[in-house]
Amino acid sequence: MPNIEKKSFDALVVGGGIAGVESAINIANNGLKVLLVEKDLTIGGKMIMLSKVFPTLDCSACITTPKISEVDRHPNVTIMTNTEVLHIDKQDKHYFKAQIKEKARYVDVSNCTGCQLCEDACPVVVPDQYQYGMVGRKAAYIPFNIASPRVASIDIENCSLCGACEKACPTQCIDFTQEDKEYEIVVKSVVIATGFNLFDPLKIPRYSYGSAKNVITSMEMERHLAPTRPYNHVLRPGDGKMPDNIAYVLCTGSRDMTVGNPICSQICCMYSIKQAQLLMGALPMADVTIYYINIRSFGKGFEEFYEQAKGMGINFVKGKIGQIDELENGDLKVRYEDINQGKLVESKHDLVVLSVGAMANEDPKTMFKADTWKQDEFAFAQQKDLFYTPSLSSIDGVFLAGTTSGPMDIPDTILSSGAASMEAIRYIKQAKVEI
Amino acid sequence: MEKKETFKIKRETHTVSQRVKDELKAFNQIRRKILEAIGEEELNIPDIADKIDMSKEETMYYVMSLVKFNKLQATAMDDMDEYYFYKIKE
Ligand SMILES: Cc1cc2nc3c(=O)[nH]c(=O)nc-3n(C[C@H](O)[C@H](O)[C@H](O)COP(=O)(O)OP(=O)(O)OC[C@H]3O[C@@H](n4cnc5c(N)ncnc54)[C@H](O)[C@@H]3O)c2cc1C
Ligand code: SF4
Repeated sequence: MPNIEKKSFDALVVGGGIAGVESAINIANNGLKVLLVEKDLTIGGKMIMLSKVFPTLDCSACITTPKISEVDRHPNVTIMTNTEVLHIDKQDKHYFKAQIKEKARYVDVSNCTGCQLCEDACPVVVPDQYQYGMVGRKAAYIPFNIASPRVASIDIENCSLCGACEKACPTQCIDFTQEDKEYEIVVKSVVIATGFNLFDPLKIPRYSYGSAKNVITSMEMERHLAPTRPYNHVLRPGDGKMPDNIAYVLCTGSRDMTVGNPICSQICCMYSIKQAQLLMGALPMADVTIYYINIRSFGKGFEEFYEQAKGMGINFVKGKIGQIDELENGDLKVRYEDINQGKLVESKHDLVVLSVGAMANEDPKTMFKADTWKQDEFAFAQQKDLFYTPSLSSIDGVFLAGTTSGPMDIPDTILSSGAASMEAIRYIKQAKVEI
Repeated sequence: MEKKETFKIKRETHTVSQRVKDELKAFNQIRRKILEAIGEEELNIPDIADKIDMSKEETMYYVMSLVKFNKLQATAMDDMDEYYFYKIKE
């Protein structure tokens, strides 16, 4: 359990995805003290889970981990993982009180070497949430190899309390006497970097996600393609077959009034084109078809990336998917409207990937006093002025970094975090009060 | 150094649910069945599923978990380049 000797900080950064990490580093580099609070067991957000990134195809882990280790080693940053922000109350100008709860990990993180002997000893197996349930994990576990901190945790809800982990641990860092701990901290400013949620495809039953075993989400495909993948290769979760005819369904849960989300998620066209290119590398004999309504390749190098995909032989079909049905052998029958030809068509694929959209994470709403935290009509954080001050929230002294305010890719997230941290620094430096 | 055994202290305040006990038992049974089904052979997922009378999807989950936990390993692919074979890890 980290010892927060200093209970006051210049800035509280909520969310340890790439937006929170970047904001924390920027603020700390200006000599200010930062508390970075992450609800998960590891920082890194979605980016640390990705395979490669569009449009450069750089390895995502390789560009995330230097940032992660920079924030981790920074003398001005205190990181608390597995920690919730209960509420943040503005007391006065430049003065917030926050109540945070650090959940028991049942491991003394300062002594854990990440040797994984507890994991080997643990007899309990449950679906691994970091692999979207495609494979199991132990009740005593390290989330994944590049997790930060790379230390064990005990999933107490699934633990059989057999004591095997405690016996196996060479540094005796397993400690079942740990309890949740609450802290009250005082800060001069707050950066909200709680990111986005993925659209839940169960909300579109006609796509058969959850019932057809070989219909998966784009985030699951990221895991298939990442170095920390669940299987030894890209394989169908339904039967272990190597797929050779893969379909992408773009705009799943975006631009769709029937699920209450009319907006474009901005990232799914490009990440699908990226995954399709990676699949052509991993499965050279495979056919990949992308069903789209429009391709939104608006960023730097994006159009060229799209052209490159076409050149590689990826099949782009302007089509609206009506229904996906599972066949007896696990293949999928896809019924769609071919928009260019204006007719209904049926096709067969052996794996379907739903390119799920980016939805608002409404967590911040519960942190602040009612009616002070404002949201836009799609439940993302409301920006005070979209054009002139996009990183200012509805609360003075609370700044918005990354996808908290709307869907965006990593380069835009970095830019947004730069803006939010600069605004936070300016705000903190104006403070006359010593806290 | 003497081991602490704090799990015994936790047992006084935390009851392990019946679900956890049942799932632990079920996993051990399935693991044994899969390892027995494979034995000295190299089998793919549909073969293993057939032998243990389990759905291919569930078999995939358990076999991949056993690969992750170093009990099984993938070997070659079949002639049709469709399925990997799995064997017990030496
Ligand atoms: C399938 C897929 C592929 C993608 N591929 C690419 C790509 O190739 N290139 C690219 O540029 N972009 C890509 N993206 C987009 C990229 O993931 C985002 O731009 C990026 O993750 C945004 O970072 P973030 O920090 O704003 O949010 P997130 O990554 O969502 O991080 C938010 C963090 O906040 C934490 N958090 C949430 N709520 C709380 C709370 N209440 N308290 C404390 N912590 C909290 C979360 O646990 C998480 O760690 C992809 C997205 C998806 C879904
Ligand atoms: S980015 Fe592409 S796939 Fe995603 S919602 Fe927009 S148009 Fe649809």
